[in-house]
Amino acid sequence: MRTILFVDDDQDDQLLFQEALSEADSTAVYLSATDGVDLFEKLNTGKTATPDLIFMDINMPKMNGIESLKELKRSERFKSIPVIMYSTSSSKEHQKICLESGAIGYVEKPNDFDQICARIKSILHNGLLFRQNDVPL
Amino acid sequence: MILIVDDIRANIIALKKILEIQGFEVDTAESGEEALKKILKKNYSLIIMDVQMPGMDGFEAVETLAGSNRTKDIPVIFLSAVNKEKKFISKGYASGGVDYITKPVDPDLLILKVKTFLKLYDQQNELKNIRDLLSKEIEIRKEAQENLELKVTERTQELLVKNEELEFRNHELQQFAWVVSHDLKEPLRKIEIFVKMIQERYLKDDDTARDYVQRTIRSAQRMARLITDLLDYSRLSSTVVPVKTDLNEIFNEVLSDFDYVIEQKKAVITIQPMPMVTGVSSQLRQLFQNLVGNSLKFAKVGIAPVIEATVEIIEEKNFESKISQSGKFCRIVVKDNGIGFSEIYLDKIFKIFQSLNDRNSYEGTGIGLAIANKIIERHNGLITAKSSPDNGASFIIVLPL
Repeated sequence: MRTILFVDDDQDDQLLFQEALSEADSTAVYLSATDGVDLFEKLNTGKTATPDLIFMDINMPKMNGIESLKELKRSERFKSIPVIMYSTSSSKEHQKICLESGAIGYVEKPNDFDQICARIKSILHNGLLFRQNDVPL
Repeated sequence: MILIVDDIRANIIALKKILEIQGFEVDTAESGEEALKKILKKNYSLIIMDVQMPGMDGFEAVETLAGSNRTKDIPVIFLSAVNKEKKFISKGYASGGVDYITKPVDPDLLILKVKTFLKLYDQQNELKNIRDLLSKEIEIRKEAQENLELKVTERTQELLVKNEELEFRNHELQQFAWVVSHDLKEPLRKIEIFVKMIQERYLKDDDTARDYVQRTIRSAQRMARLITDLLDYSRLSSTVVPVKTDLNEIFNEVLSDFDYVIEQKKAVITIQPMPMVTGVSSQLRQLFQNLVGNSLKFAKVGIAPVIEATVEIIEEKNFESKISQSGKFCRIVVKDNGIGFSEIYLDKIFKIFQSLNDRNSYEGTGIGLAIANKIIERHNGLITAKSSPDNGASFIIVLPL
């Protein structure tokens, strides 16, 4: 059973992701946060279990995805959680910053529900999801 | 006015007569002291000075005159009956005299000397006046120049500030365009996703409903493309440095981008060997992508598109320019066998949002040629087209090499 944390301020995207996740892996546990501030609040207070993987949007209010990613990677407690950035931006610059800041992947938000499912399935089933102790990155 | 200084009145009278007969105005003094007093009050143009006088002698008087700016340039002729030796004559010149005459005096010679010295004095004064005038003029010009320089500096500073402001605004505007287009595309993406989900999950059996939903999706996609194109257009304003670019590579990339469409439409495309030009490769690529894309897009229904790109090196930046191997420009023609257009629309097709064709049969946002035009402008080139309905179109480009 895997726990996936989805960070995005867009409720439509949350709905789509949640549905796509349950279709990709019916046993997966879906958790969510609406931005970086909410994410750290939930992680720090233990309201949310430490997830196996984080999917995170870039463009969010209060604390955006890149800031949140850097903050995660600075934190002794959370830096081992793999993060995949999930954004509509096709900017090469954004992708580069994300990967350099410690994300293990960058997925452009698809325009198609089936594509979202396929993406999540591929990530969950093809070993991109490492736990800290499984495989050294 | 001439001043005669002598302690012996008889001498004065004689000399005065000689001068007055010649029409000179004459004043007299009977001692060095009196002479100095008079000179302080009045302007004299020549002084005839006796050397030996009781009290202040002639030499002393002249030395005193030499100490004052106002009087130092007045010519002094020494006149002496007693001190005829060389040492006195030397002393006379040393103290500032212009001449040293010994008695007896030849009146004719004296008159000539007086006239000469007066003339010299006048000329000297004139020169002095001119010099003063010139230095004043120089002063004025210097000041004007300094003022001008100050103004230029001020203006330059103002322009620099304005320029910075404009650059900032331009940057802001681009940022704004980016954010707006991003925010506009976001809801469209949602429309597309959710409507597709409705179509797939709930409308499997209703063809009419599926058709309506399909139209909705196409509209959303079209709007998304429109926003992308607008964004591309606004991005063209940002400054990039042009470099030597191989147009052959650009054309290869463009053709490989259209691989699928070319195969589908069975298009025949021939590209002549192209030259190197100085430009921004991403923009040049977009330019030819838009032109070739247009030719593929506006093909006649049922007829395979035939597209030809030819090039000539030409002498000057002119559509009609003569061919010249040593020319600094190239003329590229992209010709097709498509539906063409009437040249009365020529000035419209390069402007933003001017699509001539009916949207249902031909895709496109009407921004493609506006982008092409802007790219050409930014490359210091020219673009035009030749066409008539049903007879294909030729796009003619002139670019600096």
